[in-house]
Amino acid sequence: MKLKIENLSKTYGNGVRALDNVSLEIGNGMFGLLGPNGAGKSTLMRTIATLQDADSGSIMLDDIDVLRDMESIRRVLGYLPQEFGVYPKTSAGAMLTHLAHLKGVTNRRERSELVGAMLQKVNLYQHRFKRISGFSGGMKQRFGIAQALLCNPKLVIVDEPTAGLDPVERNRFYNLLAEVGEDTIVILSTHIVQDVKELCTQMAIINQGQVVYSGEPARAVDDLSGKVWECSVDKHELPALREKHNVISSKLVGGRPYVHVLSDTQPGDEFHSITPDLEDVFFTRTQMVSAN
Amino acid sequence: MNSFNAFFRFEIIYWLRSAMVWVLLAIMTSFLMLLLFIDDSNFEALFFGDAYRNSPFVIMRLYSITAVFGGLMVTAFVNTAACRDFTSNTQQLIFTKPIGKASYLFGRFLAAFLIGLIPSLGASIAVLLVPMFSSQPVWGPIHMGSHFWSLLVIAIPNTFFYAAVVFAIAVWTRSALASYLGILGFLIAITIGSGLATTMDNRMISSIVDPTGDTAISTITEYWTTAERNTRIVPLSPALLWNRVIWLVGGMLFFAIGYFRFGFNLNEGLISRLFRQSREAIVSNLSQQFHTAEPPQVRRNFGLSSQVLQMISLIKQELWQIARNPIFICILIGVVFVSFSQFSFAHTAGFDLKTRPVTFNIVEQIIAATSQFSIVLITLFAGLLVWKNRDLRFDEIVDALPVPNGVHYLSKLISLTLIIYVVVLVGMGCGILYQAVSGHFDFQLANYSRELLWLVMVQWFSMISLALLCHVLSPNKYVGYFSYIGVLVAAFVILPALDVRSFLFRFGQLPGHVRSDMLGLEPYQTSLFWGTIYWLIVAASIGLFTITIWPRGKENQLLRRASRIPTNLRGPAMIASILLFCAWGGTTAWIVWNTRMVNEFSTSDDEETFQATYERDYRSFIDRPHPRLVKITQDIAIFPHERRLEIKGVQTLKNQTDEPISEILVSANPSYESNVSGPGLTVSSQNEELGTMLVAFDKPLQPGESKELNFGVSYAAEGFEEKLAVPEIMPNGTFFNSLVIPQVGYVPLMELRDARKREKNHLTGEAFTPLDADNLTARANSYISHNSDWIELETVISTSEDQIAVAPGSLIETWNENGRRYFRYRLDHPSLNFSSYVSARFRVASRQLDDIEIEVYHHPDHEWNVDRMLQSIRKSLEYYTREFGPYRHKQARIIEFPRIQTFAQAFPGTMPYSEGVGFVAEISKADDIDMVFYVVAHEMAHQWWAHQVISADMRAPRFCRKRWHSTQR
Repeated sequence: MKLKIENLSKTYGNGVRALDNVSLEIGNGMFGLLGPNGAGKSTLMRTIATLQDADSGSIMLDDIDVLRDMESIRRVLGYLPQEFGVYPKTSAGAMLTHLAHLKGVTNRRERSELVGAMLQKVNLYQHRFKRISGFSGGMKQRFGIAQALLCNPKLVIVDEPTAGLDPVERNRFYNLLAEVGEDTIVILSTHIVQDVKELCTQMAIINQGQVVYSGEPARAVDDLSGKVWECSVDKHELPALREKHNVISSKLVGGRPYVHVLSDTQPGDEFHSITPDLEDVFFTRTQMVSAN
Repeated sequence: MNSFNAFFRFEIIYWLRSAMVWVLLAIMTSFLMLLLFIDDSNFEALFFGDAYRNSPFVIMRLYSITAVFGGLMVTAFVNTAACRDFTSNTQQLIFTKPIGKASYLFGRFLAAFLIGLIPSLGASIAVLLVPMFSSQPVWGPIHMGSHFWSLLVIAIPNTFFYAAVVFAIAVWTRSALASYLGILGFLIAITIGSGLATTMDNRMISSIVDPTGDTAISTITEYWTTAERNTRIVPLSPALLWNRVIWLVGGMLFFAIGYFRFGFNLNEGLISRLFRQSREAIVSNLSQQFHTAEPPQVRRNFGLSSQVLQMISLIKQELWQIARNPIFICILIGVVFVSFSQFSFAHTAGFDLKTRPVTFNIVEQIIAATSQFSIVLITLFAGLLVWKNRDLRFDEIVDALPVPNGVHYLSKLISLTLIIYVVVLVGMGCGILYQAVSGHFDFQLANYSRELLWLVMVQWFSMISLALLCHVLSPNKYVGYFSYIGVLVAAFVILPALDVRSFLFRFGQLPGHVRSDMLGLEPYQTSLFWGTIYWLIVAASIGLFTITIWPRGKENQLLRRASRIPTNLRGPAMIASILLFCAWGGTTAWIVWNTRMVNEFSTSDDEETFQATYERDYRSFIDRPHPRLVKITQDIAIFPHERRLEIKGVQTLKNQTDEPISEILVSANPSYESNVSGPGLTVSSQNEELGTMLVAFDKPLQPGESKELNFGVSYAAEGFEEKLAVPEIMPNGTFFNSLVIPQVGYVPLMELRDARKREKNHLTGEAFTPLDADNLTARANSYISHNSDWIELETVISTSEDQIAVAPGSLIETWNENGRRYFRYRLDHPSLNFSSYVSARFRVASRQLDDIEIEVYHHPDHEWNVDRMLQSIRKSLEYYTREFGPYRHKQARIIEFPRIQTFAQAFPGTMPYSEGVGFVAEISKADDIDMVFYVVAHEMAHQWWAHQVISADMRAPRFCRKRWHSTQR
């Protein structure tokens, strides 16, 4: 399976350019879509999920034209939106059965087996008669992934699925996602670098509607090898330092700012070289666009 | 105080910048402008009377009658303002700020209330604007003071009151829906309350009970002259003053309730507390392992059959949600309650009598009882269903599923239809139960089903499709609600007022039909068939269009969706839309051809124009010498099932004047084909439109000479009609009178009597009924007929074999021939030229009193009051003969006719009596007035007073007659 996005552009009515000539090739496996808030991740995800139109460009899943033949793409799609509500007074089992029906499982017996197994899988089986509106955030999200993975979709899109989940639930969620078959494309959007690092074999970084990087996470990290330098500074020195060096990030460690600087050579004695990680890649890539 | 300013200003600026205020103002203004433009006498009488349309009186009334719309509009503002922090989830931000409750609530409320006043200003704008474009002579000088006065006395208190009610509900429930329903329920309660107060006949109480102030205004101005209405400002007389005081205080109370109920806390509103599911503590066992077993492989189908199954699944889902909706449950209870109170308390038979629970009556009551509820349900749930997934934020999941738009649309359409079916079925169940409890076991289930489960449902079905379309086209739910209501108002109020009267424009409306045991549906079958076909095609077309612009995904701007129409209309959808368009065009053309070309469609205005033209063109003939009619011999053939009538006859005319007559006027009924002929006479001119003919005698008719005038009348129903032009000829229940036969001379009965109608039709002077005792024309003629005194009449009347035909006089002979039944009747005594002809499948009840045959011809099922009728005739004959003199006929007949009209009328020896008033009236309680006995006694009295002693066509006797009839009523 291959998802091929070419020159996709989208400008909203209010002038915001959400997608700017985006081209990506996504193969089987877990694909991470990384970007800051408002980068255009959700727009891209929703466009692939047939919920939005593009102004120009094309999306092809093998030989299915996603933007035109929506019906075909929906048959192989599993989609978990960033946010979703539930019907009041409806139990998890009933809701999932209804959705399985809508996904084309019209045989009653098969449907109930499928739903039972799916609920087992996401560990909600014992809660199948309870209302989803009473679920905790993690349980609701597990219900979400259950409905997305129903019927072995070939293209799974999950939009910021772990926002607001505690670490245990987050792990649980990723375990479920990781089980998806090998011949499936899974696109996971997030603004948490850690997620991509743990899960994805392929990734893209998107900022202000543009793809600023795409490729393997490890390769991106390798590219920065030997170029990232760290030092701790006083708070008041920070502005001066920003003037002088290409500061890609600053964060507090024990209340004291540590800055990362991108430089081919050692920027100063107080700096020491560190092994870059994906976060440095993220900051580097997103700042390059901002600087342009 | 500072924070009051902040809240107040925020709210005002927010609304002034939003489109809603201005849209509502525009709606209100244009609605009232249309109202002011209307040139229709019924509307005029209802709203303006004789006053100028910009007089102080009218301005004030416009403000008060629009209060209901204003109330609904103010709901939008106040509810939003009151719930703003809860709906936008800012309560945690706002409530933690150091603000006072008073400034928070007063700021929000006052601003919303002031904004809510803006749409009602439409009344003033319309009144000031329309005179600039209207050339009608209905505009007086501009009266600015009354605008301000109406605003102060009517609009401000009304808006304040509604705002306060909504505010209290909104603060309490924190639910927009509850606010709308609350205000709707309140309006319904008030309407019912006002209705009850009106029946109490106490003007003061009904003035006070009506919160709009409209009743109070009517009470104060009831006896005002037109001049007063044009110039006087309606004062704060006690009726209005007390009304205003009470409702202002009421408003304050409501506001106070809301104010004290409100707290800066995050507790849930009443609605969510009432219907909240008990939050079960669900503790997930963290240590539990996930199952690693793979879910089974399943077959997936996307064919048509699976789409049907998916649709059923969606319908189940929708119905499950609706069935548990408290509003739906309340409405079902309401249907039961209102149905039974309709059955038990509706006095439709006149004289405070109930109609027996015959099926046609119960069906009408059920329709009356369920209609409002159905409209409310359709309006409300169409919005809820269309917006459900988006409101619950479940749309992204559902929209990405492999389910075509059509399946989604149909599931909502069918769900809503089923819901209305439930409402109608509940009404129907109540009806059958009521019949059974009342001991009426002739349920006529076929009629029930045809009327309620088919005809009525076609109407609701097309309304549902319209409602769904309105919501699909609208950017949000509220615009959807308003646009739907707007379309209905346009179709049912504005278009008819603009003289667009075809049912084709009125959503779901079918060609008119009268429900009657005698008629059944037979006379209306074809028109109803095409009407239902038309609406089903319209609904299907709307459905197809709705599917092509069905909102899906995140981009739902209308333009964007419209741009997808070509893509959505590929293949079968394209073929379907072409077919539908052709079907629609064909059906429309067929209906228009039949109702407008094959048959003439005339409105009451056309009727007036006809009467006015007749009077203008032929009044001069009233004083010209005409021969008198002395005898009619005629052969009437009724073909009930074809709705066809053929009359051939001879009128014997005698010149009783003292001058020769060379030309006469003959006035025929233009709904029928009529002709006259005879030896020695020629028709010199004929006006088809008016049915008039000028007949010239080859040799002038000398004084004392007689002449025979042959005449022919025919009518045959063709095609189908929207409203039967000749409802007299029916498959079962034909009833027509002698005005069908061409009349010699001018017929003053045709003149318009109402002074306003005469003025509108530019008729000068008054209708013919002189006061002047020297008017010899008037003195020479009775008010029944200007061309005859007492005539002889012999009739052969034939009809289909299963029916009995009745004409005045004694039945001489009867025979069957060629599958038809013939009757020969002859008057035993010369009578007025005023006769009736009836044919139907009758059962006859008869008694003999001396040599007089007493008979009641009735529909076989309508036996209840027949004995009372026989009894009444007997007693009348005894009493009147004793007190007044001998009865002139050998028979006294009551004959039932269909309830197309509801009266009883006395012809010589025969008294047709409507099915709707006497035969099905229920006279059971001891204190019930025996209306049947007394109506029959009244008609019997006419056999002396009118048929033996009759007054001239003059004003004084006319006055006496009217007094007699009104005291009898």
